[in-house]
Amino acid sequence: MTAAGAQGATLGTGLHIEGLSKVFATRSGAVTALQDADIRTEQGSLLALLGPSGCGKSTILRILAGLEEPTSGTIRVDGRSPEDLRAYNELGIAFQESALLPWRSVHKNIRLPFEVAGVPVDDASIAELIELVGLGGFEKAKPAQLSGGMRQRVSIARSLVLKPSVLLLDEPFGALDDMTRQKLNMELMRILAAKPATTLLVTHGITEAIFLADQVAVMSPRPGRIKQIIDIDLPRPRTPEIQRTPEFHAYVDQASDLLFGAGGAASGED
Amino acid sequence: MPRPLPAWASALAGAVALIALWWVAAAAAQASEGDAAGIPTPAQVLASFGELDPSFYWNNFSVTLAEAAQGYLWGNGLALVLSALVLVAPRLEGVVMQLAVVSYCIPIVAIGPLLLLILGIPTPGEPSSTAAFLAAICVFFTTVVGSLLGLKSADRAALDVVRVYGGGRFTQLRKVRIVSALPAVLTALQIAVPAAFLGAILGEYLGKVEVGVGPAMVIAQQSLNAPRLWGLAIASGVVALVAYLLVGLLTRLSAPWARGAAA
Repeated sequence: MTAAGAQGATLGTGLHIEGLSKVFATRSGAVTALQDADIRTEQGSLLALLGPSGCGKSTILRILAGLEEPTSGTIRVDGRSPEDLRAYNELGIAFQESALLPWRSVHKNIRLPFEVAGVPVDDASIAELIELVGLGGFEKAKPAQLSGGMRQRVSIARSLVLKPSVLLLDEPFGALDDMTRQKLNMELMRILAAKPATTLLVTHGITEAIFLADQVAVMSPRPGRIKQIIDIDLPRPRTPEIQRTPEFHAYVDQASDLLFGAGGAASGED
Repeated sequence: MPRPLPAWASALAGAVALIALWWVAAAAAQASEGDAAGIPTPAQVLASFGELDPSFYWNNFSVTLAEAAQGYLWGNGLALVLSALVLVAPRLEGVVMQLAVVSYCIPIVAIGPLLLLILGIPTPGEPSSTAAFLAAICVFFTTVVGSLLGLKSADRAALDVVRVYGGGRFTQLRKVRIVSALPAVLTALQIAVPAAFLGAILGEYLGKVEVGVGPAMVIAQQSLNAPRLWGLAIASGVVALVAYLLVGLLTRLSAPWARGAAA
């Protein structure tokens, strides 16, 4: 652990990505999904990866989760490698599709990480999380009995159940309707205030990214790369009203310019 | 728009129409060819059921059912074990699929006599190994395909979640794949029921068996007893259908979250 500690001292805390590239070999040749990504964030902060589909934002998340191997580059989170984080169950993850097991109840779905990681089940913390995400009374419900938004709440609770220091959210509310999505973004803010973690949020919603994040990395596709990282200097706790302030609009305009402006990444895409 | 008929009513109407059609066809055939016609009326078939002692049906069907059950267990058991093996060792998929396809493509008529030479003729009244073997072959392919499809149908994101928490292939199989495969596997097992029964009857045709549904049909055919032949065929259908529905019921009880999805 001394080695990790020393690395932590030199590489700093938070999310630390350097020269990260990923090339996929396909039948029609090599496809560069991600090119030379550099990201640095503070411990406990939330970084949003914002960009159109195919810009490699999910690739960064999947490499962090250990689900893909990087072609080149280094990743440290709080000075530790993704493998290390995984080995110590410091990772939490939630996807766009809730990825709940349909035959398990809400309580048992949230319990899954304990079972897979081989850690003693902490029923008290499961109960606390169910309350925190606002699903008290639904412990025994099966996913099919829940709405899409409720399923994502379960998925968020599951991602937090091992008390991770790093939280990876891959468009967690991307498949929900706009009203539910805004509501859940508020909830997510509240939940993350109660359970702080260094968070990476993948999204294609501009306002969502600015509303939630401390930093927004705007990305462009083909090849996927980070165009600019915008520091979001808005006070916390943030309320929906903040979305009507000139400062908020300035950030939205800045991000939109990067995405759709001259040489914009996402021209012609949603 | 008028309200659509309830399901039972349209099923009943279908059955009535079918029987009516059968009756008309039988009447027409008998009008032109007399008693030698191959199509008996429903009433004649019903009467032929009454002609014989119920033990005739019991003796024949119990033997065939025993063969079908043996083949069903062996064929499906082997198919399930091989499919699970493929999940743990993906390289085996080619071999297993090849085996399944070969078992499906070889004409049963070609293997039957071969099996008879290898397995021998059973003592009368005992289940024939040839018939059981053919029943097993008849269910193997569909169950391999069904359970492989099922085991692969697991939600990718759920598998990723397991991996992020340090689970390997085996944990994925145990926590996610097997249970998500259940609906498809159980559907395959349900489809296998009539297939096993058919395989057993074919095996009896080819396996020089003296007691069973197959030989009973051969005897009825040779004695030009059309009503009994039809009766045996209908009874076979009913037996297969009842077994099919029973397994279907079991399916719904054991994988309630998959209601409708498996059908």
